[in-house]
Amino acid sequence: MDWLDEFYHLSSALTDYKVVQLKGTGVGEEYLDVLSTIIPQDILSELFDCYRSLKVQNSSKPKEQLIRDAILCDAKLGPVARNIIKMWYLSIWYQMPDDWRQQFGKPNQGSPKYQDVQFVVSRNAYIQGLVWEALGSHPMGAKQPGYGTWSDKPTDKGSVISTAS
Amino acid sequence: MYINEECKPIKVANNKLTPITTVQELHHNLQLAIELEFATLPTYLSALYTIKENTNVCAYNVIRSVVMEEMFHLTNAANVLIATGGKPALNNPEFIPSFPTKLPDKEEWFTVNLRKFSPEALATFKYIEEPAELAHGLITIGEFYENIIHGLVHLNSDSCVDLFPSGTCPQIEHKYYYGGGGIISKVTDLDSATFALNAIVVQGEGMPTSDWDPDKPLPLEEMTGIWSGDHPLFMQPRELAHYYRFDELAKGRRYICGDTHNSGPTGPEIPIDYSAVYNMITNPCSKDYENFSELRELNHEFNRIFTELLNQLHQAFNGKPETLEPAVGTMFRLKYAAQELMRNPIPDSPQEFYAGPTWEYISASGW
Repeated sequence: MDWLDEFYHLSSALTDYKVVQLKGTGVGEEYLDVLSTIIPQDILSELFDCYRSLKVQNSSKPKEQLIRDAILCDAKLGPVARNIIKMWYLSIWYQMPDDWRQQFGKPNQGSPKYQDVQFVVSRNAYIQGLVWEALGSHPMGAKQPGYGTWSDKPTDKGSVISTAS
Repeated sequence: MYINEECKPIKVANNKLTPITTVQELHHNLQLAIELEFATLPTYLSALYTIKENTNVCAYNVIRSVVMEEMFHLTNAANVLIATGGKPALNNPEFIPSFPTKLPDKEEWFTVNLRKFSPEALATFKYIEEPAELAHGLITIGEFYENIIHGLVHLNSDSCVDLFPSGTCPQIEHKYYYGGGGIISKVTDLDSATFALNAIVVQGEGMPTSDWDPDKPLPLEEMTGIWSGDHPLFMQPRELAHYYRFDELAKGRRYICGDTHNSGPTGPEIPIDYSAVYNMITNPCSKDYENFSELRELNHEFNRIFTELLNQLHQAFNGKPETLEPAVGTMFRLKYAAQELMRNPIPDSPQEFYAGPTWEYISASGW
């Protein structure tokens, strides 16, 4: 299994979106690129190992509490996992917390593509942020929902289906 | 030029299409017209949506422009059916063909597949839009409509037939159509019905003329057969007919002043990158996903949205035109669901194929 596959499975557990939905955004590879440029390899490797062992011990998709205990509460892995969640939902890379950077961060060597500062991952990633779908909304001006649909309540989405005659 | 590996042309007898002599036959043919116009959409949209974000911009815009006008054609055919007292039927599984397919107007000389954006897809697109003047002995969409127009003329001259009865369902008005060439016009009599059907043909195949010369240059002579009919019919900007828009993509060049059908396009190059395309499996079917539950669900979700769209269109053409407004929202959701599928590789596919939607109407029992 390569990291991309592991990244999708971990992301699916962290975001509660299915792997096919995450792949369906078309920007997962960019996110992994950001992550593996900024986060030291050994920490990423530890994070994926940790999730893999949770899966091995507890069926294919570990329960939320296990992920909270083993990953999100961990001083080293937790902030990385939180950044992965924020990246998927908001398509923004947030600078890692100060204490994490002091303890675990490594200065970037050379001039890599991504630095650990706050930035929007890409123009396309912004459109693909999960937050829009989760809100029942859309990225304004970037992904058309159809004329007049802004007056529909998000919950109305399913009701039109019942018009089948 | 009409032969490729997978489909050989079938020469049709001189009397290619059966003349229409009853209102029932007319309605049947107009229903076929609606099915024909709709059947082009999965074909064009499959190629369109496999184009990766921010790539192949020109090709994307060209295919999209044709898709918009296919919806115009569908509406025109539906308006003629409504005006003659018929009822368009879009809300059933038979409305949509299963791909690969032949088009429902008896154009049996080529096969329509759902393909990613590729030279093979463009070759099919050109077959679909083939001008009648080029397809000697073969049925084209233009001839199919010509047969309907003959039927309308015949029935209109019959004093026993009330061809345009009063009290029919409301037709789709022009305000519902935007973003493409042509204007939806109300159908009330033979002239307006003929106009609406002609508008379909001249967008796809170009302006037909009896003495069309494929060596006449563009655009010095108005009737070259290369332009769509939007300029003479609707006073809209000049645009190439669908066939020639696709020909530009297939050849990777623009038509310019002085070009003819026979010269092909000799203008500036169109940048096309066939590698910047999701590698969608040809003619996706539910069997492709039977071992992959998440892909199966994603495809089912697409088909739910697709079914919802067909139900909305059915309502719009059967008394509630205002349903077209939410239907446009459904069209966008359909697009996003299709793209979601197309970005997913099919696991363990030796050819590294990606998924794609299967375009199926789900009847109530399968919901």
